[in-house]
Order: sequence, then C-alpha cells, then structure tokens
Amino acid sequence: MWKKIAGILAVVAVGFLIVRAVRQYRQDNVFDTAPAGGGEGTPPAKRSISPELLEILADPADKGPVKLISDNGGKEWLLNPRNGFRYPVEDGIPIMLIEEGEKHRDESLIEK
Amino acid sequence: MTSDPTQIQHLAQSQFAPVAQAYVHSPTHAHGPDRQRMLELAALLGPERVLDVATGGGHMALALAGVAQHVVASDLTLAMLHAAREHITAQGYPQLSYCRCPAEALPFAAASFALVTCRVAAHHFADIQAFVQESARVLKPGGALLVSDHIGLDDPDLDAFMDRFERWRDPSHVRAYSFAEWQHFCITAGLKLTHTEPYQWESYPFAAWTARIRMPDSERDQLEQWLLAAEPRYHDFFQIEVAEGRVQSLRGTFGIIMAHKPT
Repeated sequence: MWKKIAGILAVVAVGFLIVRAVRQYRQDNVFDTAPAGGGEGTPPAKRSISPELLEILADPADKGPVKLISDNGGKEWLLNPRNGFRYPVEDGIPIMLIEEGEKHRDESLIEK
Repeated sequence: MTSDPTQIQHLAQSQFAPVAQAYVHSPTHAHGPDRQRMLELAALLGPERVLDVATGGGHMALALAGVAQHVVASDLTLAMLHAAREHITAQGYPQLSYCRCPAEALPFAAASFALVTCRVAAHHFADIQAFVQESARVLKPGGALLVSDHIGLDDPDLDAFMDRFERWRDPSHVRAYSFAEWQHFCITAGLKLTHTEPYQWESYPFAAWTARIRMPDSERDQLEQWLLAAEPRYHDFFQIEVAEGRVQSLRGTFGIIMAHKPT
C-alpha cells in the first residue's frame, strides 16, 4: 500500500520536474522568437501594426518612408521601395534591424 | 571588454532575453523615484507623441501612456518587448506601439516625437553619441530628450571602482557617463542641456541584485570578496553594508538629464 503511494508520488514528482525544466528551457530560448501569447490553449489574435506607428516608421538606414506589404503567405513586411529591403513584422511588432532588412531583400520590389 | 557595437548589442540581447520577466516585475525598476520625476519634468499636455527607447520592462512607457496621446516603446530585445506589451496591456493600456530597433539607428521619420525618454538603459548602448544624435533627429523642434541612468563620477578612482562592480555583475554594462560627458553628447548632437539632477536609487540588495541577472555563483562570490576587501573610502562612498562577513547591499550613483532641441 505505502509502496504504491510512494511510487505514485515519485511519478508525480518526476512529471513536475519535467514540466518545470521544459518551462525553463522555453523561457531561456525566447531570444529571437515570439511567444505564444494569448494564454495557454487559446490561439492569440493576429496583431497588426498600429496606424499611428505606420505613419512615422522609416527605414533605419536611409530614414526614408517604408510601405506595409503582405507576401503570398499573408505575412506582413515593411518595404523600403528604394532598395528592396524588407523588414519582418512579428505579431504586430516591426523588426527594424538593418541586417534583417538586408537578409530579406527582394530586388524585384524596388520601385524605379 | 569588447568595443565592437555589434558584439555589445548581441551581449545585451542575450543578457536580457532570458530575464525579461524579472525586469517587468522588479520593484526597483517599476517604482524607482526617477519615474515620477521624469513625468514631472516632461510636463506633457496630452496631445504629444512620445518615444521610450530601450523600454525594458516598459515601466516608463506605462507611466507615459496615461498622459501622452501616443506612446511608442522600442527595445533591441524582442522578448523584452513581448514582456512589456503583456504587462502594459494588462494594466489597461492596449493602444501603445512597439518596435524592435537599436537605440543607435531609430527607424522613425525626422521630427516625429515631442519627447524621447530613456530610463536606466543608456549605459548598455554600444554608441551613446549615435543614440543622442538619433534622438535629436526624431525630436520635433522644441522637443525634449529625457534620460535617467547610472551617472559616472568625477573622481577617477571612485568611477573606476563603480565601473568594475557594475560590469562584473553585468557584462553588458558598457559605461556610466558623467553629467559633463552627457553635456558633450548633447552639444555635439545639437541639443541644449537644460537640466541635470542626481537622485538616489535604492541600494542594491546584493543577493537579489546578483540573482536577477543570473550571475553565476562563483562570479558572485568573487565579486563579494572583492567588495569586502575594498578600502574603507569605497565602503563609505558606495555604502557597502556588511553583516556577518557577507555583503548585504551597496549603492550606485544615478541622475536625470534633460536636453531640448532648439525651436
């Protein structure tokens, strides 16, 4: 009887430790990824860039205006139409790092 | 210490991403005495658009949300922005904007903001002059840059001592600049330094202060031994409190800087 209870407790304890370890691992690996948001089990609503922010956003390098575009997959980008740099928008947050814009450059989007 | 800007920025991100929630919930960051004082100095009237650079836990952005028309909170670390947004939205302010960018290359059109704030973060910047220059560019004429941060000391020995313990604990701490250095940065960027004032940040409780940044135990112990062995003048100036042979707390030096863009 007591052995059985001890066994169950041991299993629960191991489970608890695994859940904690996974949670800690996730917390330590949020360096460059968007969290699930919303709350556990419920998919978060898709967020968009606010019009107030869009009005003043500029390319971090040449400081000229950027345009909000969507690709075929529906993903939003901020395009510098002068050089084709595309800055990703992650869950409504624009990632305005020059190296990101350069990495996702699409020369076909340059407006002459 | 590295002086490569990219390495410094990478170091800051890797330092803060895993501890973003700790900065959201840090009582000293949430309720530091400078936050209310910055709001008083900003004297916002309501219709202004403001930018909080390196928002961290979002505490300054949250304070501004109640008085400005629109607040943009920026940070280099995406995890920080997510943590700040979650916290600020939960406080009843879902309408703020967030943007991931370095302080040295702001992605905003010239003359976009009436106020740029930066609270307890400038000591992490890879290029402080570029930050002040960029702040001047995005400010409207007559707008203000309002900074609260660690402040460097005129006494070179005290300054070096503080620099050592701050960087030992947090390798992404680049430098605490003196008021004179801030004046130079502002003049170079075309801003007029209009106000400086020191303030007292609460003392660092040694155990929590080193734990928040997840300082390895061996490093923490070495830092503690180094502090314990310091000359009395350092113990006096930085108010290093010792009990039963253990460091209980110590203090850094802080201040507020305000500069205006000419009209």
